[in-house]
Amino acid sequence: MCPDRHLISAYLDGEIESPWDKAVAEHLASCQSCRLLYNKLAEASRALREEPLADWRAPMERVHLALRSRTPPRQSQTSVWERRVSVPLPLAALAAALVLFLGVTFVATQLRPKIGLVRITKAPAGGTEIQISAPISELETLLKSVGAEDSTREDVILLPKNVRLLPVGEPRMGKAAEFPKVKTW
Amino acid sequence: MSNTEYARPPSFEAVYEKLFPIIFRVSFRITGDREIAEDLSHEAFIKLMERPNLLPDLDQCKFWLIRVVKNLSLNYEKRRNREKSAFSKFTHLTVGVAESSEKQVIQEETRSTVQKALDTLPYNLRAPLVFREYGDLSYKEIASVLRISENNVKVRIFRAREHLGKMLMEGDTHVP
Repeated sequence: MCPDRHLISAYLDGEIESPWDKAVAEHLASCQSCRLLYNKLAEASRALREEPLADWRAPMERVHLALRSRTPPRQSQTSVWERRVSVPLPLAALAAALVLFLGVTFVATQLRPKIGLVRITKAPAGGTEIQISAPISELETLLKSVGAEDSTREDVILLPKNVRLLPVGEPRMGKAAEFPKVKTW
Repeated sequence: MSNTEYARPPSFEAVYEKLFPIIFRVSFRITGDREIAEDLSHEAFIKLMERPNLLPDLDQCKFWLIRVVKNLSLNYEKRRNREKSAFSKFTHLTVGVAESSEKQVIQEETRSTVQKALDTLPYNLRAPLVFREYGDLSYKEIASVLRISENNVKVRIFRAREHLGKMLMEGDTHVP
């Protein structure tokens, strides 16, 4: 009995699975009408595949140029930052909790000694008592930070007495008076 | 093309170099028009460029591009059929415009016997055969592209080949 004619076409494409392809091959060897059909189908397939496609280079060049002028070709690899990562929700929650816990402990351990450096208390007499406990190496910065708590600060720079200051260049006002029409600034 | 050939995704240039001839050929055979084929291939590669992530290997790029070409060519096919029916309606009413344009005549002459025979196939037979013969897709892949069953692919390819064989043997490529 001849197999379904569709099977002969599928056999031509190598789309018949292992035990059945041998059966089809054996049948083709013995059945002339099926062999004729097979040859006809194979001929149609061959005619298509062997049909030359003239002049695909020119379109290839044109399209390539158009694509290149459109946007620069992308990098072959996506950047690490653009890559998507999927993490299961419980794991993500755990990681977030861990990060939070570590962050809090870090901040607490780092801040505690600094908070303890200066203690300002109002003395019952009305004055202010400042207690400073810090290693000597940090004392300078500590004093600075205490001083910075003042709202205003005055600094006086004393120059040596016999210094002579030379005016360099012309003052802007003078220039403006000389060239009133030309505004370059 | 084996999957192990590329450990990491091929660059756009590599994909273009390897696949443009295939995509252009598939587009041309399915539409039967060189200019349309160029437009379709162009558009397909633009879409590939605009993809947010790269496809892992050439086979998947080819499969993806052919899927795009299928959608584009189907749109073209529908438009052409609409225009054809509108045109024939128009020619029924007025005499004298039935002559085809010069461009059409030239195209008709330069088209090969095989292409003419392919053009007589309806789209739903032509598409699977072209994907098989020029795109080298498996029945499974064609089924996925056309959203039909593998069995249906088998039947359609058989019918297309049968029809084509008849046309080529008779040498009759008259387009009705």
